[in-house]
Amino acid sequence: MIRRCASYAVLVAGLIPLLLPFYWMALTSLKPKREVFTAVPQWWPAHPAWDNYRSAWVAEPFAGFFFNSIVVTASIVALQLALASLAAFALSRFEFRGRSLIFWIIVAALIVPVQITFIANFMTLAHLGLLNTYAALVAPYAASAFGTFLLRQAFAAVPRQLEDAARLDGCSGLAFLWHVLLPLSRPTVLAFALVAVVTHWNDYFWPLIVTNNNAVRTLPIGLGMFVGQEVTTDWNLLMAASIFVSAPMLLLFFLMQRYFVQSQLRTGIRG
Amino acid sequence: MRRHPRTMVFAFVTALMLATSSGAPSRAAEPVQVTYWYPVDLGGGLANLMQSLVDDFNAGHPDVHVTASYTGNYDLTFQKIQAASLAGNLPDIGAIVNDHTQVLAPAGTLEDLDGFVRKAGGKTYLARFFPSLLLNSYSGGKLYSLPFQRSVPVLYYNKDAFAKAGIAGPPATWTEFAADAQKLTARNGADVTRWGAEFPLEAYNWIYYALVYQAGGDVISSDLKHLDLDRPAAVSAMQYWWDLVNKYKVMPAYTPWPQGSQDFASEKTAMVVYSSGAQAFFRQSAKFKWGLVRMPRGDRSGVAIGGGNLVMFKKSPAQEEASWKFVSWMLEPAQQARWSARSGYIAVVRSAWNLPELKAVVAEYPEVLETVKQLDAAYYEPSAPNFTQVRDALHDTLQDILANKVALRAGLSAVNAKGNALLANRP
Repeated sequence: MIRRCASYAVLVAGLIPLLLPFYWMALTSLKPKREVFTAVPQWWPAHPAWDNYRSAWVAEPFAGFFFNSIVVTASIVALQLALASLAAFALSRFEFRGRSLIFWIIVAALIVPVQITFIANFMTLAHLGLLNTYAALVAPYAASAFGTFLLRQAFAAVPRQLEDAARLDGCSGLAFLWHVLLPLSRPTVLAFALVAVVTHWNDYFWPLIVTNNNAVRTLPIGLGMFVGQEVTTDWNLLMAASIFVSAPMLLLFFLMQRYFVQSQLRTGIRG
Repeated sequence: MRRHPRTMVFAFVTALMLATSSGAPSRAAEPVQVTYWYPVDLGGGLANLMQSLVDDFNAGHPDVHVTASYTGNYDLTFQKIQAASLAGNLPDIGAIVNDHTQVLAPAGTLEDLDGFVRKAGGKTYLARFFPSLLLNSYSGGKLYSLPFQRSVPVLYYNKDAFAKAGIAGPPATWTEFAADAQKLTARNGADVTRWGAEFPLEAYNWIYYALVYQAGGDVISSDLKHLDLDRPAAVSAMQYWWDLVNKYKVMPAYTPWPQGSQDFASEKTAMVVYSSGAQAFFRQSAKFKWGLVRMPRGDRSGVAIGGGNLVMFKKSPAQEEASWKFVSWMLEPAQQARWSARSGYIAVVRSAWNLPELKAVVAEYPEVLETVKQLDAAYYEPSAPNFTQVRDALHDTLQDILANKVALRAGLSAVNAKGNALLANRP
C-alpha cells in the first residue's frame, strides 16, 4: 500500500511539469487582457472571459482553415504511407541491382535539412502554376525519406520463412505487403503516421510561403495572425485559438494511444 | 490541373484591354486585378481591419479589384517577396518594413514612384507627409516607397511608481533619466524586484540608434558607404547604456524585445522605451496609471523612425496605374485616420490629425501627441543594401558589450570595421 502510494506520488510529481504548460494555456485562454500580465502570477481567472473563444474563432476564418488543415494533412500522410510502404517493400524484399545504393541515397536525404529544398520547390511549383493550391502544400511532402527508412527497417525484420509460407498459401506481391508486412509493422506505421500528422498539422513556414489565399491556407497561419512582432501578442486570444487548433491532435493522441499499447503488447507476445 | 489563377486573370485582362482599346471606353470593363501583401506586426485583429479597408476600396472603385494577403511578420513577408522575386510572381503592392526599401530598390524589383507622385502634385503631394517619415523612402535619389504604418520609440513610465518614489514628472534628459531610474529600482537584498528602466533589444537595434542620434551623431554616413560606430557619439551612446546596466545597475543587461512590453505591464520595470504602437496594448493590459513622453535627450532629441512603407513592384503600366490608385487611396487622410485610430500606428499624413476619428483619440488619450512631436526629431533608420548582416553583427556586439564580454571601444571598433567591409561588398 505504502509502496503504491509512493509510486503514485512519483508519477504525479512527474505529471505536474508536463501538464503545467497545458494548464497555463487553458488559463490564459480564459483571462481578460488585464489579467494576462500581472506582477504576481494568477492561477485562476478572476473574471473568466469565455468570450475569448468566440473572439478568436471569428477573428480569422478558422472554419475554412480547419477544413484545409484536415485535407492537407490527410493527403500528405496518405501519400507518404502509400509511397513509403511501396518503396520500403521493394528495398526490403526484392533483390535488384543498385538496391543498397538507392537505400543509401534515401538515408542521405534524411541528412538534408528541409529548408534547403524550399527555394527549389517553390520555383518548381511556380513554374507548374501550382502556387495557391492544395497541391503546393502536399506535393513537396508526398515522399518521405524518413518513412521509407523506418518501414524498410521494419519490413526487413520480418523473417524470410514467413514470406515463403505466405507464398505457398498463394499470397505474394502486393497482397503479401498488405496482408502480412503492414499488419506486422503496425507499431512502426502508426508511430510514423502520428509524427507525420503532428508535423504537417503544425507546419507554418511552407504554407505561408506558397499560399496567398485564405481559401487554401491552414490553421497555423490563422494562429500567426495573433502574433505581433513590434509590440506583443494577443496571448489570451492566441491561447484560446491554440486550444481549438490543438484539440484534434490531443484527441488523436488519446485514440491512438490505445492502439499503441495494443500493438506493443501483440508484438511483445509474438516476439 | 489548375493553372496559375493570377496569370490567367492577367492574360484575360490584357486581352480585354486590347479588345476594348480601339472602341469607346467600355462601361462594363472587367476590373484590373491587383494583389497586395501585408504583414501584421502589431497583433490585435489588424488583419480584419486591413481587409475592411481593402473591401471599402473595392466597393468604391469598380475599375480595380485588390486582393489582399496576410504574409506573416515583416521578416516573413520579406522572405516571401524574395522567393516570389526568384520565381517571377511578385504581387503588385507590398507593405514592407521601411528599411527593406534599401534592399529591394537596388535589386531592381521595385517601381520608382516619382512619376505617379509628379502627376499627383509632386512636392505639394509629398508635403502631406511628416518630412522625417520620407527619409527612408529613397534609393539612389529616387522615391521607391511611401510611409504607411509608422512608429517611433517613446518612453513609457509608470505614474504610480513615480508618485511613490516622489518624482514629480517624467525625465527629459539623460541625466534625469539615470537619476529617476536609480530611485525607481526596487531591491530585496541583492535581488532586483523591479527595474528602474528597460531598453529592450530587437533585431533593428532601434534604441541604440536613438541613443546615437541623441548623442549628436550618426550610425551610417549619408552616402551609405561607411559606418560611424567608432565616432565619439556612438561611443558615448554606448557608454550611457553601459552605465545604466553596469554602473548604476538600474537596467538588466539584456531584455528581449517582446519581454519589454510584458515587463512594463506586469510592473517588473518602472520605465521602458518601446514602440509608440504599444499604447493600445498598455491601455488594455496595465493595471496602473502610466504615461508616455519623447525619449530623454542627450545633446539633442532624436530617434530613428520605424514601421512599414507601401511599395509597388515593377509591372505593366496599366497594372501599375491600378496599383497606384490603391496606394494613394490608402494614404488619403480618411484612411490614415481610420488605420491609425484603430491600430495605434502614427497617422503619416498631417491632415489626418484634424479628422474627427483621430481628434476623438487625442481627446481621450492626449499623450498620443507626444509620439507626433517625436517625429520632428526623428532621423533616418539606418539601412543599406547589405545592411541586414551589419545590423545582426551590431546586435550581437551590443549584447556582448552590455554583458561585459567585450570592451566597449574595442567592440564598437571591431563591428565598425566588419560592417564597413560588408557595406563595401555591395551587390
